[in-house]
Amino acid sequence: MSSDLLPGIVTDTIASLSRLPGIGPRSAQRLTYFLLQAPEHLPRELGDLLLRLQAETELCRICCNICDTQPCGLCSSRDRDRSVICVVEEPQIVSVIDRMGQFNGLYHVLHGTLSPLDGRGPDDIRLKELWRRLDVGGEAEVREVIVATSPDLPGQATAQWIADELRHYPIKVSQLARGLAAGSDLEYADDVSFRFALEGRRIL
Amino acid sequence: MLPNRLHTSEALILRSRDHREADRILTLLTPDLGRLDVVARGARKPASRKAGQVEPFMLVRIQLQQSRFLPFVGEVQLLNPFQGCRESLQAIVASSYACELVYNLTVEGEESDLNEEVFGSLLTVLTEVDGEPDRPNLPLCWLELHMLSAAGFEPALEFCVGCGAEARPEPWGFSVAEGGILCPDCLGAMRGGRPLPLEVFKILRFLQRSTWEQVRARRVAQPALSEARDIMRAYLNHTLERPLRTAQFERHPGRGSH
Repeated sequence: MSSDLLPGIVTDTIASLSRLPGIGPRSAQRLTYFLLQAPEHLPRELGDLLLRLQAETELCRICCNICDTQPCGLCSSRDRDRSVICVVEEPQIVSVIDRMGQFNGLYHVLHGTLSPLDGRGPDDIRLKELWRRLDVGGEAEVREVIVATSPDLPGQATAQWIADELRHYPIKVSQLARGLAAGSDLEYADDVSFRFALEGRRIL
Repeated sequence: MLPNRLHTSEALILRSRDHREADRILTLLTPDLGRLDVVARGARKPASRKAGQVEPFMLVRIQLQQSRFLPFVGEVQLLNPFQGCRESLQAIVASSYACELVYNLTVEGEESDLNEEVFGSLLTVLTEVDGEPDRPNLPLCWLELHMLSAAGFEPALEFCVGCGAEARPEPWGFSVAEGGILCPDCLGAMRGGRPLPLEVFKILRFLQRSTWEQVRARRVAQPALSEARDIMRAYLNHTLERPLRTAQFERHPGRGSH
């Protein structure tokens, strides 16, 4: 887009928005024109929230989830089952699992996965914080760690690493089940998913 | 660039990385086109039929379609998931090391008579790790020597790289910088050489000269094999001018940092 046609602030806003994940140049342009024509309070509120977003949040010192109090609401809640920790890759997965209402334990957010092929090692994610929670003096009552990483190679490497590390602890390490997606058609299932589904079949 | 607008080939998936919202860029190793990057559209969506079939280490028959950016993946047929390569940390690390080694010692889009041989070597090693995930050292050392040869960095194991003297069955040395063995005189005179026990030398030369079928039929002493791998790793680091990323996992698989 020629800089002669548009004021610099408009092209800069488009360029800035298009750096966000999932926003291409066309979407960035559409958002910019929407904000240009929106009621004045809308961009003002948005700008204010964006400024406060990082300034007013931090990582929980226990579970490494994003929070605005220390420790976070989940870690300080008396209603949660403290004997189970669900390990997830990213903070957004916590809300995905928690809104189902099936899990009432605690969480631990790794902020990534191990990936030998990408050179991402154990020091690059929040594993030390997990070991600290499980070591003597930490949350000693933990009886199970559920590894809820993605069913891909980095997710599997992370799960295996955690299982190997906790082999000598009196803690059960489990992994989310894998197999067929709910509502899917068997005719279109891929070989690997079908294999996992068959291995993990249930007695009726 | 594909030879035709539509091209079907067997392929091993060397690596996979996220692209845009729901796509993946796959690095393939094929027997006909060598190493190439392709785009698997929508492969990160849960409902994608490709998602479970385009993970690293998998052997697939894949249909590719030419495009202006990178070739697109059309249909994929899974030939072997090599599930054993991902069921323990040691197997994941060994298979990742094999794929990274091949990635670093091949050139993207290079037409070469060696493409089929390189593909066959990696397929052999993944098959071995899949079957015996606890014993990856022998196939990995064999792959290191054969990949170095295919890439033109074959270590000299027949003659002293210092004076040209023919190798004899006695303890010599190995120079990483010169890329080969050193006779006792040159080992003393040249800086940077390291002792090469006779048993380790024999293993290296046997692996370099042999097919996998020949290697598989022979027993190899594990301590000497570990030392042979240490020498090859040092030579690879020197040749590539950096260590392979997976090597850090290979040295300390599963050992905690706490």
